[in-house]
Amino acid sequence: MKIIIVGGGKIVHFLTKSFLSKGYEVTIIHEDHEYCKKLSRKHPKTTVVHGKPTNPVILEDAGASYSDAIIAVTLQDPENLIVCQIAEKMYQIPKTFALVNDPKNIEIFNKLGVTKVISTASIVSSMIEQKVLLEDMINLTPIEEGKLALVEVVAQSEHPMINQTLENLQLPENSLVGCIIRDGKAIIPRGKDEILTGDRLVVLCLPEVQSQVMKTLLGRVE
Amino acid sequence: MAMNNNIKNNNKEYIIIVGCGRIGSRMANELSQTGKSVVVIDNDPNAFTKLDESFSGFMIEGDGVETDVLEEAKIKRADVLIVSTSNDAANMMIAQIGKNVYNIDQVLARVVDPDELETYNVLEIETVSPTLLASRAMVEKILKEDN
Amino acid sequence: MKYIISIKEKYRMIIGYTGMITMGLAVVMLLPLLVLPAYPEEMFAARYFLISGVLTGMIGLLAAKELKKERSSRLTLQDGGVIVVLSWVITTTFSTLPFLFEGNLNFTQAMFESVSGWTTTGLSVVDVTETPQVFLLWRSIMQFFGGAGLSVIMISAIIGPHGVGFYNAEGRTDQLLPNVSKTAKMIMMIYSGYLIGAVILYILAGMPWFDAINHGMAALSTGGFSTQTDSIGHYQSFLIEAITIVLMVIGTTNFVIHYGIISGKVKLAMKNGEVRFFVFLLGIIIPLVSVVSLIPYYGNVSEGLRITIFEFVSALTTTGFSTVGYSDWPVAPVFIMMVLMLIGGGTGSTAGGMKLYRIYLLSKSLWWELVRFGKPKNSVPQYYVYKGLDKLYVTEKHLRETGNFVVLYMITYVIGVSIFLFYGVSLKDAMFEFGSSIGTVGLSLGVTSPELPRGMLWTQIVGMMLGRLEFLVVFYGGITIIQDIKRFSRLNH
Repeated sequence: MKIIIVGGGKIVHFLTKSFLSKGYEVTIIHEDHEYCKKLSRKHPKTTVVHGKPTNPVILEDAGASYSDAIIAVTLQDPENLIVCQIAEKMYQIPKTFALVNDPKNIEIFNKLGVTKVISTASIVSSMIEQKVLLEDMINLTPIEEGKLALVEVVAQSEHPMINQTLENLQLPENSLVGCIIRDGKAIIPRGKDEILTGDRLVVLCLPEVQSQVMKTLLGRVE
Repeated sequence: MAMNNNIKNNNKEYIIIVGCGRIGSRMANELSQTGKSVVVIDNDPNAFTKLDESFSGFMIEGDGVETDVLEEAKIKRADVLIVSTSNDAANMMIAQIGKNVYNIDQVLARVVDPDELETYNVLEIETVSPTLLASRAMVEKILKEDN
Repeated sequence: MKYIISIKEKYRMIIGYTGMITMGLAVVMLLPLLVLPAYPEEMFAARYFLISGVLTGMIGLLAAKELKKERSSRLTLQDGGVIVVLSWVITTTFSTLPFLFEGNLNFTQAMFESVSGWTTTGLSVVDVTETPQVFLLWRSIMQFFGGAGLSVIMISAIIGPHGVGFYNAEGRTDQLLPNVSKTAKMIMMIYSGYLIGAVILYILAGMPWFDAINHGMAALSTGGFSTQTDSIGHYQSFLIEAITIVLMVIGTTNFVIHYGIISGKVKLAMKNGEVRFFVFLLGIIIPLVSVVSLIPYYGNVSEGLRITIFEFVSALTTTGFSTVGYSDWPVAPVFIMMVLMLIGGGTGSTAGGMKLYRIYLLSKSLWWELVRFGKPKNSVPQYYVYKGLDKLYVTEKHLRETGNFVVLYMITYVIGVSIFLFYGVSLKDAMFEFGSSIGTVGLSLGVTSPELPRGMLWTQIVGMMLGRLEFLVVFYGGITIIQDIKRFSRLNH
């Protein structure tokens, strides 16, 4: 899969690492020549293109015509919007993602044709609201702009969920233990399955009930 | 340029100008002189000093990209939206918001970098490019004198 | 010699605009004739208005012709200042013509009445029982238009958006709509709308229609001229007094606030600093004064309270209507009323005085200073007040300008009072009467009368003009004219 990333900063760095580890082909576009050199050194396996990402010439140069996805994560919402619009209208890139800083722009972007929008402010604020305790919960993955919470929890001996069956736990509505990973094996659990120490649970739930779910599994919410 | 009162008063009464630079401020001055309601938006409060003493419209300090700021300017009432910031991407976004979200009758954007003109066209935004106009005008003068 | 040419051009334009304003005045001067059908016996008095109107119109036309010679008609703030001074002087002077033709008043007295009309003061040297109806109507008309301000009238009717320099120079800084001509038209619409409502209410409350029109105009313009010698007290009607109180409050409210309320932003309008300060002041003073002073004086609660409310609202709104005389009141309420007269009404309204906004701002500034002692040394507070419908972050410049104005006002006040004292007036009377002049209020302890020495009448005339035009425009308009004359004559040798 070929991905173009537009933008700079730490997020580009980690996205690139992550995509490379999955075997994707990554091209990065950035306006600052010095920064491009740095990126090139850090990520030798990627292609770094120097230029204005809203310029169709640059996009074409970066291989937009045969890319599968483009991710716009600059610090300017308008840039991100225009990049995705051009990518889609001129190069028919199948998947475009834009980062927005202003949550109000989610709706605007949607109205202007960019549907996959990630709002950092919304995610951070909903995380804070959900009072996440990071020790026991790892890999919090926001899906669909924070409409669904996907959480990985490691079962420890002091947790109330230990040796309980899923049935007995009485998790709230709109939540579900989708998968238990035990000794490297993935189990799709049923009501009668018990939770053992060391299990990694993959929990899906709506953000509204996340605190409740965590309380039931872990015994407290900080 | 003297404003003559021969300009027909069509229904373009409420005009919002985003960006109070050299171009935006001149437009604001002239339009206000003809009796139109003019609202100027700019992030930098010092930009408003470019407006004439005779400017009698409203000035709003804020980022024209933000819907809150546009709403403060009563964008729903606007007949004309002129976008003239120094950032093409912002101009494109605001112009699209005006045209596609608020359905403003006439939306004009200023093109800063002529290389971006194609992008504006793909997005179907009506543009005026000062750089292109200026260079064309000068070239014409040069070529005319050749003859 | 470019300077000479540009001076000539500039003054052509200024004279041109002033000419247009004079022509407008001529039209206004003919308005009292509208009442002739109802009072046909007034035909003889109406002549004076006809002559005055025609004369004024002709002079205005001559001057206005200058404008056609000047193509670029954009008015700067400085030009606006000169026009304000010129047009106010011309308007008040020409408005004496009907009185002079009629012959009952000498020039000083006519000028006094005219200035009292246009500045919406309301002090009078005229005996209303002996005055023809057309003249009474003329006084009210002067107040009505004076309250709106020459700039608003002219911009909405004639000059259009070129007049924004004039608008700002006459003291209006707030705009209702994003174009000055739309703002001016809206102000006239709101103002006229209120007038129609006022007249209807007065008539329903039992006032004769002629009185209703006059008092409606005088109330909304916070002017205070009455067709009756005892002002509103003549009617002895609680309903009429209540209606008048409402109209006075309307008159003292900034037109921006009116527009805000009309367009639905009531909550925002209520946040306005002046609105709150007005309520605060009266909320404390009326109970205080009535309980301590006026209820005991009148002997019963309802009368005492009713009178206190009416008189003090009249004072603070700078209207000048009264229901009783106060020459034998205890001194305390008289003093407090005088302070309220000086404080005055809202900016951007028809009222006078120093304006609620200025006193409010300075008081707030004082409070912030005190509060600052309790905050961290390095904190960076941002102080704001609600001016019009906006939040205004207060700067040193604002405070300095406001402070300067208050000082200038008080210096003028002291000078005026001293002049009165030199004429032999008592301290209480001098302070009250001159306060009423400079604040363009109109309440009187009886000092003002046709027999008053000329010097005192002129002192009051100057006080009323300075108070209405808020000093500065008079000064820099005057200074500009003088400078230009000096330079022109020097270069023209």
